[in-house]
Amino acid sequence: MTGRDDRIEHVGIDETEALTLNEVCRILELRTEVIRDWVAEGVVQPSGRRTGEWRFAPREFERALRARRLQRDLELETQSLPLVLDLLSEVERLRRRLRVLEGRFFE
Amino acid sequence: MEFKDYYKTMGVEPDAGADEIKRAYRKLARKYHPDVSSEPDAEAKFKDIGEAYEVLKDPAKRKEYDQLRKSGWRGGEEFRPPPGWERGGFRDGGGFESWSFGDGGGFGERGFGGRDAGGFSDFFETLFGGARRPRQRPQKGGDLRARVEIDLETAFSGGKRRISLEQPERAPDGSVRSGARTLEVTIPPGMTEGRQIRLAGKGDPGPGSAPAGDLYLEIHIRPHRLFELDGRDVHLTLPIAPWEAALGTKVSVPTLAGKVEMNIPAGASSGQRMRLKGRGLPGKPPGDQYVLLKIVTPRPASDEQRKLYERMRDEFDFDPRAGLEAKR
Repeated sequence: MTGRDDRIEHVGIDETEALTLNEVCRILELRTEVIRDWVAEGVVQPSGRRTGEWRFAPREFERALRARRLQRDLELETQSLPLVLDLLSEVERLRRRLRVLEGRFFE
Repeated sequence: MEFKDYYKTMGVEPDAGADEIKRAYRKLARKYHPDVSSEPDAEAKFKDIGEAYEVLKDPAKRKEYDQLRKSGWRGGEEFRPPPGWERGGFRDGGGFESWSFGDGGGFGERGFGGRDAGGFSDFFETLFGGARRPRQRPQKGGDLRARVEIDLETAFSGGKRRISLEQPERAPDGSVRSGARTLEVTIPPGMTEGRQIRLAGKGDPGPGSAPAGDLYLEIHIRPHRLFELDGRDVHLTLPIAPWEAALGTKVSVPTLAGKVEMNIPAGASSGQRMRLKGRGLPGKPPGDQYVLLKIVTPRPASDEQRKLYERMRDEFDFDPRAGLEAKR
């Protein structure tokens, strides 16, 4: 085990890397039917037309991560997930705007 | 370790029914869910609530917990499990705290992280650890999370960030201690606040020949001295002199890519916003830079200057508050 602490692993973040349906299912530990359902309901949006060609970009995967957390922790219905996710993004956007504006007017 | 008062955490009486507990959980979960809440300590609170619910919703666990309460244990007391509770051994990393820190190499960067959410307290692990998920052999190593703070310049042009991850390591004699791993992460240009990046296979090593877990980086961008960030858009407040606003001029404006020239139109006002297209964070599409004009008025420092202002007052037939007059 000597020298282990000195070893530095180099990793890159690849924003162009997209995941297949099977990869998303494996990572999120969800059945393919669940993700198919999510795509049908607009929870996540892969690129590619047929299921076999689906690719989930990093931001879509993040949305899926969040959807899983919300569904698991708050027991939300699938149909409500797109709305909840969109509203949360909107709230975040508004909070950021508010911070920018507050920074200006109360400096 | 501390004896946890799960009833207090849940805000219910010890004789609360299952329905009441479920209602209480849902209400608190909506309030403190880290994806929803803006409370500063939402994550810790949510974890406490999840742990309390895990025990109180399960009749078997609740019964065991109630037995301890009956024998006199109360929240906040230093708890040592009675002999019968020992379930012995090192369980699945249970209760093993982990954190990481960036050594930053002079950048002053730091981050911290830990096991993926769902790690319960030592108290819980001691009581129920062995009985949690009826678990098959784990199929992969645990996922790790690390918070990475970068500055706006790095978000703009990319860069490298070092993070250290602590993880349990089994020594040859079977004892467990913590070891450190250092990762140097190459961050591409265009990272935005709150991104969660998955680095496959960079979590805990898997047991035996099982694959390693994943590492999730949570990106946070530190506040900047000049620029405010809104997604990929960058905002800057630009001070200008009254005569610059009145007459129009060309000014040099800082952007993340360096200075650019910008035209201030004649008759500009405070609060007017101008856009420098594509000068925000890179991406598809790239963000813009918004420049908010702010007229800064110098105080007259000499008689000459005062006279200049007085002449302006007399020369201009100007009522800035004309719009405030009540319309008849």
